[in-house]
Amino acid sequence: MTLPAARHEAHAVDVESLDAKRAAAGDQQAFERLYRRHVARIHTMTRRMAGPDAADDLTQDIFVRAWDKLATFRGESAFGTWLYRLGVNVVLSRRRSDKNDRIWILEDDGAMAAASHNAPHHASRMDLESAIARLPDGARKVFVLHDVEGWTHEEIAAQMGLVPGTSKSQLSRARAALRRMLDGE
Amino acid sequence: MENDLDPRLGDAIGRLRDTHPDQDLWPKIAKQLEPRRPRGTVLVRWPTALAASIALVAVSAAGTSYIMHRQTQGEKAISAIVVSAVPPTFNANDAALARAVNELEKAVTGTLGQLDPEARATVTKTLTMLDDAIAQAAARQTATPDDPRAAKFLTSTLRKKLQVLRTLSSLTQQQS
Repeated sequence: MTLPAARHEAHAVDVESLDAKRAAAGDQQAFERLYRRHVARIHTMTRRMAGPDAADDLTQDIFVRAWDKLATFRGESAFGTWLYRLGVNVVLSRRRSDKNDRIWILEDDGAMAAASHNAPHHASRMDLESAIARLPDGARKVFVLHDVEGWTHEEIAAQMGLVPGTSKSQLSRARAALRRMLDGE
Repeated sequence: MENDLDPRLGDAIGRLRDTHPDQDLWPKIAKQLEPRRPRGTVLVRWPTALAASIALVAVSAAGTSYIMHRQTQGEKAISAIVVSAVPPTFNANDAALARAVNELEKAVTGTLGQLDPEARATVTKTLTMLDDAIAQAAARQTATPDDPRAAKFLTSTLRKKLQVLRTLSSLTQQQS
């Protein structure tokens, strides 16, 4: 990172931290600035993890909860990191409260195979976003958190209420299914 | 297993970009943001059933008060009673109720400032209504000490106020 770029980033963090404090004190304009800065990342996360139909609602829910919980933000991590963690929690808790909760992580190889075999044949290759969207729910979340967001299996397991081995096997299956879809097999 | 990331898949992941939602979600979010309250202020969210029961108590007391008032038409206008000095005309049961009301009211009054303005207004209105009903009942009972309905109404209004104060006390303790 160049020196000007580093300075720019440090300045952005300072501004963001100040906005977080202002928002915690009730300044909605400061909170709107935080929203503008992070909405793309949060919306993309919700779309990838929960699907496009649920993304708008979840994004709204995440920002409303962030507003309610801002008093608990101590500034020990960047605001964006705190917000993202909160967002993942919201997405996962929404899924847990849905019906058929217990079966989603037990998706078998059949569901995974169906995801890749049902890909449209007229397109020889799919883009990765479309391919991710076709993954079964549990595998999709593990793949996004691990390969896209860089979480460890231990973090994913703790967050999702799994053992790390399940997270690893879900990831392996997701990668295999994605390779097939991207190759147009 | 963890390191079996295909290079092509890795490249595709590296090309992923965040995208904005199709519509601006801020207006919908802004509508849902609760205004912050000053430090030390407690937001009391009134459970629907509880609010309904308090409203019923108040309406019931006001209704009875209205009936009693009609029955005492022509009498001198009744001034608001201050229950803190228990009238000597109260029987032992009503005197005990009035003392319990006094003690609880002193405790609850100190916490009313912690309520948000809307809740405080509802509580104040309810208590005023009950005070008015008690005042009328006490005046009626003083004027007609042998009237069993007057005695019953006084006991009933005192109990209702005690009930409301207990509910308030419980609510503010839960929230603090």
